[in-house]
Amino acid sequence: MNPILHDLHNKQWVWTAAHAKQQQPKQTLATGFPSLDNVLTGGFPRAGMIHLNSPLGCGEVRLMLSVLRNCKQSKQTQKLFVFIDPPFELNAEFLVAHNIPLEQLILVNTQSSEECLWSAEQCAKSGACEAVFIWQPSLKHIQVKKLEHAALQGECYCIWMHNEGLLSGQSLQKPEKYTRKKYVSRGKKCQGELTTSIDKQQALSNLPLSLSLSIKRELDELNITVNKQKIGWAQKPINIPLPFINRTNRLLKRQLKYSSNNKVLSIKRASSEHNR
Amino acid sequence: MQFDTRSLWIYLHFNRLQLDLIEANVALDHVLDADSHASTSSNKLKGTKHNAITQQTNSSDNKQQTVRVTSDIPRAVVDTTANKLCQVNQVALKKGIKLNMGLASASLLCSDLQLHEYNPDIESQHIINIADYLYLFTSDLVLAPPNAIILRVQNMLDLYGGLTPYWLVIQQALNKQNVHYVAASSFSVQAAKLLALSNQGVITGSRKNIEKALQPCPLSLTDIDTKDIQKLARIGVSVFADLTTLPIAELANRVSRYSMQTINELLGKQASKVKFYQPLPHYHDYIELLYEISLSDKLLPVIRLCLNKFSEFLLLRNAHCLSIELQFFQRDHHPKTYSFNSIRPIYKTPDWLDIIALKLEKIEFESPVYALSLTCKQYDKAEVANDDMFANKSTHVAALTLLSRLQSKLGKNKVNSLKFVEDFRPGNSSKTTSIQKHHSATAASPVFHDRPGLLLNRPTPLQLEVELIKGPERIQTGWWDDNPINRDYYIAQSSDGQQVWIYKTPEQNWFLHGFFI
Amino acid sequence: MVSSFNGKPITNTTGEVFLGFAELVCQSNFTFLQGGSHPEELVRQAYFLGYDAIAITDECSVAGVVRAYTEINQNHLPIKLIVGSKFVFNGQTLTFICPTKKAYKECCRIITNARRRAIKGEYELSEWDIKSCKYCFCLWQPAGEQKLPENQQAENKAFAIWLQKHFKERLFLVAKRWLTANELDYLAYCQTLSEQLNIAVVASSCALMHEVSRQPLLQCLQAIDAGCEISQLGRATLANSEASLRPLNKLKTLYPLEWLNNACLLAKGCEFNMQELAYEYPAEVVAKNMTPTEYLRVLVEKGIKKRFPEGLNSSIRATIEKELLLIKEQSYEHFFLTIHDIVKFAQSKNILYQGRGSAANSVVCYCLEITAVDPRQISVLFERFISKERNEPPDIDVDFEHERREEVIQYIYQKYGRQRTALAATVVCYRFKSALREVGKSLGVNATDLDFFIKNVNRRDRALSWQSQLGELGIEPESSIGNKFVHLVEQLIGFPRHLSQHVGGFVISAGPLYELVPVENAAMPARTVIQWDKDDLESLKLLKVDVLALGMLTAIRKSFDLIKLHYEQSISIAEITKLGDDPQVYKQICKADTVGLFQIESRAQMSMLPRLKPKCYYDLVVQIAIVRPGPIQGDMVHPFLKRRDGLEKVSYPSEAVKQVLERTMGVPIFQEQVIQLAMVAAGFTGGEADHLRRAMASWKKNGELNKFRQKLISGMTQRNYSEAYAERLFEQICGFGEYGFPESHSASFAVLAYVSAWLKHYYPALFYVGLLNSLPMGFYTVSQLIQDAKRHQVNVLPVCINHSNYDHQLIPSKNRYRQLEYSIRLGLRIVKGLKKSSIEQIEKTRASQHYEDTQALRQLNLPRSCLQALAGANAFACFGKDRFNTRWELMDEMPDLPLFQGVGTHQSTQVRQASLFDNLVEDYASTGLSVNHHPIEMLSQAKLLPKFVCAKDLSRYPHQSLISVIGVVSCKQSPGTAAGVTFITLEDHTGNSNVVIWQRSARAQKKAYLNAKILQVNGILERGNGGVEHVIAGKLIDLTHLLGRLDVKARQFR
Repeated sequence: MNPILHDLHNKQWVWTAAHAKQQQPKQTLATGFPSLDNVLTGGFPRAGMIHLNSPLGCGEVRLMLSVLRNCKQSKQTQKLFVFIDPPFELNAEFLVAHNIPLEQLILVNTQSSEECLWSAEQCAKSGACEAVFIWQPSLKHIQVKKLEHAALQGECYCIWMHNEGLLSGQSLQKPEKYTRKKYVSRGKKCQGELTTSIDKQQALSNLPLSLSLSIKRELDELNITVNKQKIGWAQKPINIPLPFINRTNRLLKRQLKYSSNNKVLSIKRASSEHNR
Repeated sequence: MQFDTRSLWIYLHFNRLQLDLIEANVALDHVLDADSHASTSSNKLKGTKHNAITQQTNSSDNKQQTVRVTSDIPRAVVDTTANKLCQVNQVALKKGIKLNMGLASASLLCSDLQLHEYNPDIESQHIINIADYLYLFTSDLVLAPPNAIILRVQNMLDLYGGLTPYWLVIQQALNKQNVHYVAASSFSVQAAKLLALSNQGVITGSRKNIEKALQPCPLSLTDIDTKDIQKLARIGVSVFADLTTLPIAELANRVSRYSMQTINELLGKQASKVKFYQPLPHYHDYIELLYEISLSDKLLPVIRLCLNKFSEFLLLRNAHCLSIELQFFQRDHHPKTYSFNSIRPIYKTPDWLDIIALKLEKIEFESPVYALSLTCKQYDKAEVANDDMFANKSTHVAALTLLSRLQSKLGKNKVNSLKFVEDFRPGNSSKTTSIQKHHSATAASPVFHDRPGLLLNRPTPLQLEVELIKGPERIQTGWWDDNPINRDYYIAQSSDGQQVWIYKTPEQNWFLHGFFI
Repeated sequence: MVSSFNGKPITNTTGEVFLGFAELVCQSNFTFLQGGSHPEELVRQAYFLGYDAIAITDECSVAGVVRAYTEINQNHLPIKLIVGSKFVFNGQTLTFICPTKKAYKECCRIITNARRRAIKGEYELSEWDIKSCKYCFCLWQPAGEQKLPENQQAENKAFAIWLQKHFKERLFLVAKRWLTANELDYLAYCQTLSEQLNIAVVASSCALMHEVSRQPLLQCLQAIDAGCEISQLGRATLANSEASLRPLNKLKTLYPLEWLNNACLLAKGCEFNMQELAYEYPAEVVAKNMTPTEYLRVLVEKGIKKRFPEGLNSSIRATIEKELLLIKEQSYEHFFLTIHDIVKFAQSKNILYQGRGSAANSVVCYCLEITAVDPRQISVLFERFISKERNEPPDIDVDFEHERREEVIQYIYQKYGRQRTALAATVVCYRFKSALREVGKSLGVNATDLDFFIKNVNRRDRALSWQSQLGELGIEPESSIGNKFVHLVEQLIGFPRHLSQHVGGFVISAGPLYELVPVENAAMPARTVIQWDKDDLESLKLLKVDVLALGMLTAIRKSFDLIKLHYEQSISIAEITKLGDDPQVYKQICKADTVGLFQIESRAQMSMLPRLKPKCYYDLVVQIAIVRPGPIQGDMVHPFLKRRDGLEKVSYPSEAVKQVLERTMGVPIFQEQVIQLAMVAAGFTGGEADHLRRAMASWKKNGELNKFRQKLISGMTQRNYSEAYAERLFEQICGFGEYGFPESHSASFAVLAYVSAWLKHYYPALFYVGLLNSLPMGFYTVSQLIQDAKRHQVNVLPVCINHSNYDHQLIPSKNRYRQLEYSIRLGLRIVKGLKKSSIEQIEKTRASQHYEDTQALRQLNLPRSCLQALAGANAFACFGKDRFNTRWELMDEMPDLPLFQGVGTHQSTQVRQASLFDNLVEDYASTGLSVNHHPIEMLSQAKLLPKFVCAKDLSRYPHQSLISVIGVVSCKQSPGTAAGVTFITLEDHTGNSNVVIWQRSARAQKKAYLNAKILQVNGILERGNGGVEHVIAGKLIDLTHLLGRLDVKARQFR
């Protein structure tokens, strides 16, 4: 090698192509679902703000937790999982069952949406958190931008749970946050709402998010639509199998149509003849 | 008898310290109760000692009870290990209750006797407070936990001009503490102690008087080994006077070395080894402002100044702290005091400023501030407080800083962690707890799968058409803490794909309780 | 393969038709702290729910089965009982149920093996036990109910295949459905497993309780088991109450029909009934070439010659023939022969014994020398020998000297072998105190509170139930926690807690016992107990032999030995009774001079003696039975006394009743009379009367007695007795319940009471030596006995290192009139803190030479504390130094150091001498008594006491005079028999005075009443009939503080 070049190389003043491969961190996090990785061109971004649009209770958090399980280093770094203002009481048992160590969990309750966003930003940029979960009906462009910036800075996921289908009963619980009373009655949505949701889609795609997904549950699968991602294009919705431990209704259903011709109990009179 | 003539000692025995503290508290409660008309303090009925039971039973009808004036209530402290009363108040004494009485006979004698469990830790804590106060008046103090303080008088005599004026000052100081005590002076610590414990308390410098007072004191109250005390008793040596008749030289072959040393100390032939108490100095700083300030953000530079001085102080001592107090003196109003806490021990100005600034935003002053003070009551050596919540060094500072920041802005009770509690009742299985420094790792207790991520604080009647997909799981328990449930839980799904946790009551009513998020 | 049950082929059980249900896995409360219902409750509930059968399958135990069996039998319940047992083996749960008798024997053997391998209360099943199982059905619950990781599944499968290899078609899979969280997945797994391996599934509730309402109690038990509070159990308890016997229609919704039918079919295949268990007697007790009847006859004839050397009169001969016939009819010969064999052994070893019980007081037993009760003295007892129509098993308990019973037990083990002999169990149940404590702990009540409750609840208070008393003590019964507390305690009382060994009930069988009933380890090493208790054995008509220990027999034997030694006279119990009733002895008894006597020495007995004035043997029999809580609670004492003294007319409602009650003046006093009354007056059959007897014995346990109320009252009114009379009789039966005393036992006890009185009268010093050397027993302390001995002019010598042995000795000497006189030299056994081995060493060395100084004793190398104890007891007084100086000398450790050993006495300075008071204190501290001083005497001499009347002078004062007595409070009793009264015994140097304190006075003067050790009582002297003297207390003054003054005074005088 050219001695000068060698010298420069030693001083690390030269950039080589080999360097690039070594140093560049992997840009995506595999989700564990090949088809999803496929639409996401490799997987989730390494950090940033992720928007999840879904009805409440279709497995949206479990999807996220199952993806987060893939970023192994959280166990070692003991980074925090922060849940800010969940719409109801967070269940510790659920988190334990999904391998979230409770000693790494922080639960924050705030008085207002401003406080919530402030806290989320603090957490995201602190560098101490793995993921921050917030539940908000809508966010302004500037707010999203702040959070996205903070999340990238703190190498953290800021996950925005955007739940559409809420039950009327819930409005009693936390009325101040869910002002849009959108009562989904027996799965029928009226026409007017449908159009607004398309408008909203449009508005959402303009937000500076790292990723935006819409999720629906269809029987034993999740239907995922990628609304927006930084790299790559919008794609057709895909279905993935339920990503969480699912112990469903096997026996119950079987029992209903249980037919007993499988096996008839047969025992002999336990007696001396058996002895032989 | 040959005393260690160099020194005169006073032994202060606080013979019913815990009882004094309890009565002081009750009196305080009483005043507060009278103010608020809400009696929440002590419980009813004669059985009062049965706290475990009565507290549970009467939580509901608390309000109907009347609290008696505290001084009327016979009260005693029980040493539960020995099952004996170890402190008794005046009212109880009048009713025939005696010290060292068993619990059963005491309650037979006086059915409305209020009982408290003896806890030496409370007393040990409190004598430090007393010592701190006495330290203002006298320099050489020895703590004898749980309930005694020993004063070395000798070197104070010149200062105060004799024992009498000195004792007067100490007495006044003690009176302010509102506690009972027996004091005795002698030329050895052991002898002073024996006098005080035998209730022969006299404060005198006269050797003759001391000796006379010592004669009838029982040896069982000294530090001599219990075994040796018994041995001596069985050769007719049970009080101090008997001891003096013994050939001491021959005694050495007959009792333990420790007992011999105590006896020698008692007779003043040997000096006791004592460790004098050193109160921890507090940090306190007071700054008068050059001009009055009414806007809180304008105060920050002054506070920074204060903090700089403080951090220098800590740096010199290689110390840091978890909590400081700022007091703002207002021109026309009472001073305002705020305390600021950090999750991790810190000393640097910017760290404190960070925390203070967030809280200061919310503070409004009634009138302009003319002075402020900074107080730190406790600080620790830097190397002590290194264990904390996060083993990993890279994130733990960041995490602690974040938590301090969140807590000071939102309030301490708004930032919490969750604990899993093994209980069948879904509402009981999660518990919000404040963030603790030493988190025990999650125990490997088995959890149920198929539990929802979000639970309604209060289940609501089900108003959604759903299909049952799994169940029932019957939970019918919790009778012991008056919070029983009897429910059949099912997992159900709406046509929207929402999975919910619902239950049916025995009355066939359906409720929504959670979401499988 | 065509399978069949009871010969009928099963054609089609496709699950369309519901055949019925049987609960095959079910634990009673004999699986201690795990089961929540009595076996009786379980079978009753199973019958009520319409089950075809129920198995009682306690964990490694069949202890509860007999209860279930008895319940079914007594009530003729149409439900089948299956015997089985549950085991946990390597995390797998197996239940064996017994289809045949062979299977039952096998199951007993397996339980015995598993139990014998482990320490008491635990078990250890081995692979071999399972492999060797040829007849039992095996019900398997696969492991992994909570969690089923892959490796567990593999393990289960391997285990299933292994089980299948050994059990073949006798293996079944249990499907339990408790509606718990992860259960559906587990059940699905079980179903798959059954399909894969072709194992049939049976449905079961795996019941732990008979009813859902027991859930709280069951959780409480689980907390007791875990040693924590219920709230701390977390999920280690039941989530709901499904672990109970559930109605059929509910079961139908929970399980596939086929699984339910399988359970039913399996139950149909079980044919074993407990009735098949027949007892076989050991053959060794019968001589060769003779039938048991013949051999018994030979022995009786031999006995007649010894017992009646002058020949038999015809009536006794007739009785013997009648008895022998009865024995033959009931085939009880073996039983008598076995006991005869045991007492023969005792005779050969010179061990004193005495038989008692219904059968023991027969002439046959007198001839077999099982008892010393001379039938001529108690001819009246004859008819009440074993009653055929009552169908109760013969009852003979034999008491042996308590220090030598072990020899008898070892003889039995050695003769019949350990395989064939075991002790019966005693089921130790929760009683009020233990239940209160355990429930309290599990509810989180703190321990000091519980102690307080336990101490302050008076269980004898009949007016106020313990529930209300708890209320008074601070637990509001209406409050939620109070309600739970009370309710749970109520339920827990009577629950079995553990099996303990019966005091002496042996079961001896012809074959190995473990084929009859499982045998397990007892707490005592090398002892084994069977899993059934006395009642269970009776239910199954198995015989047990009671070998009991009695301290008084030891005392009597020791007295006999002393008579032989000092008077060269041989004497026996039978010889004393043969002398006939001695008026001198009865005179002493009537004076209540009965301290130390058998059975009639208690305060209650002593106050009754002068009123009852026993004059003959039978009076003593009545006396012993009458002063029991039973008769007193049943209000029978006063009518009896009145009638005896002729103050009340004796009348009988009928001739039949007269037959039964004549000997006790028309007042039922003995248990037998009550049973007989039920038969003659209320028309109970023999079997019913036997149930009544058992219900009386266990009345407290389960309130059984009320069942008989209606029958008794209607039976009596039908026979023209007044309803009031019937009601009163029932009340009396209830009163008997807990304490009822049978005449047959009283008769034997009376013999011993008389013999002890005879000894005390004629040989007081000797009697006291025998008694003191047999302690601990009886009511009184050594001090009280010595005081009493001195009052009988017995000289008592203090302990002395050169004269005292371990035991107390009788020392003959001549008094000043040159008469032979006996003193008691106290033995070193009363010195506290002295080991027997040390004393033996002292005696051994002393044999050659007396000790001259303490140095001589130091050379024995006894523990230091031992010499100190001796010095404290003033045993070294003979060395010429007082105890303080001796102790001071002994405290010096120098001579013990190797260098100084043997250097000779180390001269030390003197310390002060012990004063009289010091000596008194030391005497009490080291031996519990003072021979020479009494505190009252000393106080009186020091002129510290006000004027008072000594105990011995009380008789000089007239009835109703106002006096004051002072004494050491030596006894304080508030018997439940006398409501609101406390008896206090005050002891002074002249004797005891009896003080009666009414509750009101006691309450008003609580301080003195509770605390005083030395008490002055000002009151009224009351002299009742028979000369009983009581001081009815007015004012109580606590003089305890005077002892301190005495100390000061003593010091001033030194």
